[in-house]
Amino acid sequence: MLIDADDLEDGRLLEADLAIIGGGPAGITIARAMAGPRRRVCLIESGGLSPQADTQALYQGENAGIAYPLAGSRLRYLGGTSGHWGGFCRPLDPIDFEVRDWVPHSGWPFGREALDPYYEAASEAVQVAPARFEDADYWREHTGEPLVDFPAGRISNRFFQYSPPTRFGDRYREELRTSPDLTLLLHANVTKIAALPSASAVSHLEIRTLSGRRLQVRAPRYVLAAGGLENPRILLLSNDVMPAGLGNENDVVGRFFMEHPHVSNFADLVVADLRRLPSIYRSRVNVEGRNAQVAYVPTPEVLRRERLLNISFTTGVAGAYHSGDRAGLGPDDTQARSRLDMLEAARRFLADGAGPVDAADPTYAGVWLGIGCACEPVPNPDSRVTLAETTDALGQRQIRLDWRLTEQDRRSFVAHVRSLGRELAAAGVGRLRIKVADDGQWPESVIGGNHHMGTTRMSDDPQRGVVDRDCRVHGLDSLYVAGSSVFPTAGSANPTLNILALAYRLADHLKGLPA
Amino acid sequence: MTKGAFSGHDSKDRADALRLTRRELLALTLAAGLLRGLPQTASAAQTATEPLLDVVSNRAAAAVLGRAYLVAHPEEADLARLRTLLQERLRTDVSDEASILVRIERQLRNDYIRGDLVEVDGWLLSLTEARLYALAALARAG
Repeated sequence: MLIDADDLEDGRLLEADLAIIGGGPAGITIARAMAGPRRRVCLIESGGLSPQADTQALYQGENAGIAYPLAGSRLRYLGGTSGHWGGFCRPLDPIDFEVRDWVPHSGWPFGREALDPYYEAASEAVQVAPARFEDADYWREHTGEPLVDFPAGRISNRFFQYSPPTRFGDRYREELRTSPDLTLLLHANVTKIAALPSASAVSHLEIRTLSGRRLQVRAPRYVLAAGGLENPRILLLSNDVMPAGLGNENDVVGRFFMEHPHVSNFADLVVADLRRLPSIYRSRVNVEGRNAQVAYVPTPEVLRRERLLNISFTTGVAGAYHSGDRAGLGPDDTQARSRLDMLEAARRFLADGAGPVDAADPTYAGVWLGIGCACEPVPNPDSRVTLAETTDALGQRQIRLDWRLTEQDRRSFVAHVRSLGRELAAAGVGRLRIKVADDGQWPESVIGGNHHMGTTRMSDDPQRGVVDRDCRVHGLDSLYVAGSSVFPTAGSANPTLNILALAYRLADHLKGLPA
Repeated sequence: MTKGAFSGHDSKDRADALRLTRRELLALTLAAGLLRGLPQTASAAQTATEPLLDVVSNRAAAAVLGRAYLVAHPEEADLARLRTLLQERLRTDVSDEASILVRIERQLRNDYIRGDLVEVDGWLLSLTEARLYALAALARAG
């Protein structure tokens, strides 16, 4: 059933067996998994069925650290930020879950084996099933091309699979609307999670609409699934019983904000003979209806030995060169000239034989490829979300984000760029040119990937985390958190698939609890 | 640390690979001077480097990279010395044309695996490869 909160009378109380705050991928997934004959689910969404400027403006806030698009990186309507998702799917790597003594605050309460059973369902939900994220043999056989064997043992082949991408609002709207056990409440902004006076459990949710209606939702259990920036905001705003905010007795809520630093134009790769870099390394290939591309990921041995953070790279062809191009280059075309020099100087090492690389095109010299990256950051308690003094249209305090990166993050990035260059050269694939100075500063081009993580991190120790291994807020019996805000570390994989695996795991846990 | 000012990564900030900087000129002048001072030895060295240079497809392109290497390593701006250094690295007679490409390819691969690298105008190169290009630069200058 779909209800517009503005159609309800002011002061109305809605009751359910489970209330979910947020109609994005995590909230929708838990709602779909939980709704059933003996479980009435109320899914509460701030927006409507499509973007609206006044609702979207509720995401605005202040930046105190690296500039970050607080409103632009999120979408506030049914389906949430999946509305501008790029579709990158890959599980976190097993090492991402480990306690690593060189990564402060690292370690999940469980290993990846705890999520493995849920990746299949997650892959179904984003339309990439059956998934082959780590099955090199499958991609080798089905593309008919060999994979690059990286001889230094520093890089391994992993595989992104691409969701169409699934827009959760569009794809699951009808299912949500027709489910007899589910109420989808639109245009309903949760302004407070009201706790019992003992602060041991949630009493109810307070809801307001932009038109001024006030509602309440009451349920035995609640899931906060509003995203990695809004989850801490709602907890911090829910401060009538606990002045520091719900779940924040140890001052962890909002801390450890993580993004995957993405750097553009940091290196060029030149390749003379594209047969040495098969198509799955250069672009998305379609195999049996699945779109996939190689992610270059460091081996765990290198990460341990050199005490590095994780990272993933992708490469894509940006342009081709012919020997005749040189004559047309102007004095400022230094990059093109340098790439052409490299291709022509190293020609014998980058292609077989002494003749033309391409017999049909004798002047062809090779291609250059751009490189993309997503870096794992160190969990940093000073990288955080707090409440600003400014307020939104509902009178709620906005967020103040202080996104920080560390020198350890940067050193790791630089080391991995060199590592990639070594491996591609050792394999005879190409040569890599580093275009960022190793000068102790992050390049200005660093941005996030719209991945908001870590702000209600998971730990068995209430001093170190907001939620426990079951995603339950420490000290509160009835409140759970879903989404990448519970990630203790970020790995280098895109969050959505992992958010869904965690959501299915949480749904399993909730189903196992007494009614 | 938060991000800060960054410079030095775009084309405007890099030395034009084809234009000789003052340091490059100095290195090449040094090399040319050595060649002039020892004409017979240099000439012999130049002849002996031919099999090595034969593996370089485009010597002019290689020389551009080689000049950039010599700017950072002016002490190697000597044809005979570079040839010796390369011979030591390759552990072979560099005048043996038949095996030289195979040996160089193997050495380059080993350099990349071991991390025996230098950065030349941003390019991450095996030390052997960079010296080969430097050889091309000196041979052209000579």
